[in-house]
Amino acid sequence: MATHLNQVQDQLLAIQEKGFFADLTAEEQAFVLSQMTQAAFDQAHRIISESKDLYTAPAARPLVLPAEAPQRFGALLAPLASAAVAAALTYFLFLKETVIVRTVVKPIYLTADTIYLKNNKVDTVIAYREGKAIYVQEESTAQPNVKLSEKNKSNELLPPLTTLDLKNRGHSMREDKSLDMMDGLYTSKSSPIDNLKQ
Amino acid sequence: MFGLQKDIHSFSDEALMQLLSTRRCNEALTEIHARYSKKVLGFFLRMTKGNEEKAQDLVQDLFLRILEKQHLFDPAKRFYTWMFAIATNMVKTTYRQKIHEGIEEGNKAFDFHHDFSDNRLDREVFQRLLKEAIEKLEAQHRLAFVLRYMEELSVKEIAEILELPEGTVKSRIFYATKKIMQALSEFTPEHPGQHFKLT
Repeated sequence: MATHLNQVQDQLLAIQEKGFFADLTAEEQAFVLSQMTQAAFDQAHRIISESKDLYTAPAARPLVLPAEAPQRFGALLAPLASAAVAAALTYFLFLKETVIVRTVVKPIYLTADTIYLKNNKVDTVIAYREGKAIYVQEESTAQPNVKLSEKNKSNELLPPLTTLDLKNRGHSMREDKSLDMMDGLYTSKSSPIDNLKQ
Repeated sequence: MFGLQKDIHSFSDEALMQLLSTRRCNEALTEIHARYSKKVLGFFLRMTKGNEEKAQDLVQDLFLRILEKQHLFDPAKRFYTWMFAIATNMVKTTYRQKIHEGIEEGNKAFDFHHDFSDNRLDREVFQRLLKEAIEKLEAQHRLAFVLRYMEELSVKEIAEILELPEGTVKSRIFYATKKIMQALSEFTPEHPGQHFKLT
């Protein structure tokens, strides 16, 4: 079976679609009769024309659409929200340095302008007025930075060392007789131990 | 949207597809369904040998595919042809799956047109034999014949749908007609071999 029609077949096909033998022009009728009988030609055209109305289709079922997909804006938001959550989790879990904020329930009130912080990784101590809580923030800083409240800061300058009387007075507490007058305090001269020896 | 619904019936098929694609307007698809569902149901009935249940399912699937593949539609081309290309591919897939087997004779979808002329009986017999002859055609010949004489598409459109040269389409139509004539030889006074002098 040829995949393409020759010129005669092509022309015959076109005339078959056109109408019954009686509807053709004289030239077309002559062409048809050179190829096939009139009855066969009419049969071919009848097949074509009857096929058009061969079936009647019933009404189609109503269209059932799937559940509406998210709108484009919504579809864009969903992955963005997921990405934001993922980024936040990554940041908090892996990137952000741990900060411990410890609230001291029992505050220590500072009464001096010098604080000794031993064995503490304390970077900042903020001391507020009495009645306020003291917050201690721990971070891995080598040099602590101590901030004192106004109350505990001293604006008074220390006197120069040369002005201080640091000379040896030439006597010790052992020779200080004024101490004998104090109850329960004994010098080496009059100690109960010395009396026992005597 | 009210204005859109009001005018949607006046939109061309291609404009409806653009509306569906750009605004995801389901009303556009509903309108297309209203226009062509019966037409494609008839096509599927002819191609599934009158299995109405299958044909109805195929219609539903067709419109869902149109919804899915809307972005593939080229507005410069005719929607009707594009839709039939999808429908034809579905039929080919159905053939491969042999779903079309199990024809129900006397299916309601096969209601013949009743002609109460003097030749009513003759015509009914002719149509029944014609139907059987069409169903016995090879799938490729039946597809070409149905698209040309039942769906009344042009040879050029069929060539586009089937992705074949026009000459091949014409050949399939010609030989399909010839085979049907042979099957209906009892309705012609001559021997079927004499129908065509050219073979």
